[in-house]
Amino acid sequence: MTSDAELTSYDSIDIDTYLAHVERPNSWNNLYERPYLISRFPPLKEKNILDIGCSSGFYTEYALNNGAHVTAVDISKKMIERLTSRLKSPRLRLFEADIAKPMPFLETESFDYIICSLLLHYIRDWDIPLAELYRVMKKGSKMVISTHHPFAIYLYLKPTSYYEFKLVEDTWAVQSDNQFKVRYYMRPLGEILRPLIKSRFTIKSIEEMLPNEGLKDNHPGLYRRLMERPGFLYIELERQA
Amino acid sequence: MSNDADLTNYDSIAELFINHARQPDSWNNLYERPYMLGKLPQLRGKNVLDLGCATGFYTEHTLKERANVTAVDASQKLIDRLASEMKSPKLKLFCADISKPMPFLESDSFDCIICSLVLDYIKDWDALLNELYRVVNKGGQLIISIVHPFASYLHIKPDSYYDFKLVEDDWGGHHGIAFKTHYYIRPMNEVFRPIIKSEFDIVSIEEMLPDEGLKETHPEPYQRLIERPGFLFIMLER
Repeated sequence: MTSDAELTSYDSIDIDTYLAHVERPNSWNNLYERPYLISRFPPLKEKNILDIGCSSGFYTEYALNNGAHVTAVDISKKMIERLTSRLKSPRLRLFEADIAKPMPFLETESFDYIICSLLLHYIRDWDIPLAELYRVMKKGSKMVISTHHPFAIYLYLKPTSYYEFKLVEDTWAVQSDNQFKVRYYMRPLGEILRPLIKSRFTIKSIEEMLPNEGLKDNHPGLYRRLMERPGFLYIELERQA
Repeated sequence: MSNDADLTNYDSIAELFINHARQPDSWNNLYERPYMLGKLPQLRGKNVLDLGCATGFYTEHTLKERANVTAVDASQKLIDRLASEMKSPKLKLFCADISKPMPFLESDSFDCIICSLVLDYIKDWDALLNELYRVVNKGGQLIISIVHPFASYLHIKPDSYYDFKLVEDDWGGHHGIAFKTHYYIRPMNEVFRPIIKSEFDIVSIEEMLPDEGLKETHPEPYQRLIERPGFLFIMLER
């Protein structure tokens, strides 16, 4: 493992605490990120999907339920073990691996669609993973990415400089009895765009995720927060046909 | 002229603005111009379009680099002033609203388009980018600077970061020549969307950092600019 991976892998935190946090019905994942990403998915039936940094396995399970063949990769041994016992399907392959490094176990030009949800902020250097993901995608296929919005992180963490590119430690679930610490990289927008533009991908879209209109009635506080300040960033890349 | 152009053109503030932008310690001089000049390609013998030329800084620079320059601005006063200041057979000047089609510019005719701190005054970028794609040569570049949306949010403090609207701002106060300007604030979404949708290739999108030299000569602006976003630099290519 790289030192990055040791620092940011979820193996260092209690998996049950983490899962209880992200899978609670009113998590940002459930109310904000997942509805946005799912609304962008193409039909998944019979497609080869790569769920990179699968974590709790939400998208792996979603894609399996929609008739896809799924390859799920995560750096956390505990997450992969958990998924192995939870999801049994002949259409599922699971790998424990550090995404910041080459992944020779993934075949070249083999995936129709890649889901990279809330993962890249755990990785410092994006050049290698982007090149590797480009290699394993079929020509004409797409990758969707969600990640922290750099300006949201600036307003939230209040570092001395907006341009700081560094590993930070954050406490999640602060309002519960089960607080836990996570580590991720903060970086300015320029350090998101540089590797994307430098890569061989075509940028199809870079969007600041707005909340679903349905949230207005069900969770007005969160809705207003997300309408007033940035939350997550959505990025769609294509390997040209 | 469109409503936009009436509100944002510099006719009513031409003298004040020129005075402001020519101050040695204006952001234009300390920050934007050094960054942009560092990014411009070789201009000698090239056909350059200076879109929204304002004080004519880039027009003058490119003329000195022995380029053929076409300069356009919505303000008749700024164009008249340039016509009297700069006499060159290599210079063409037009007063026009750049948010509308510009049939006086020939298709496939420019090697480089400089669009410095002008897009903030234009609401609809889609039509303008189409028009610029038409007039730039194949392989030619469009070089843009704008106010960074995060900087506008921190400065203007609108109710929402996502507000996309015309705002009024006060400039020049610290030089004792205060005047009002009107420009659009918009979220990053409304910067990326028209650029990605356009036919241009994205060569780079960079958050402008100040020149290291500024640290010694102007420590305060330097500190401000390395701590918070200022302008955004965008290079597109046909």
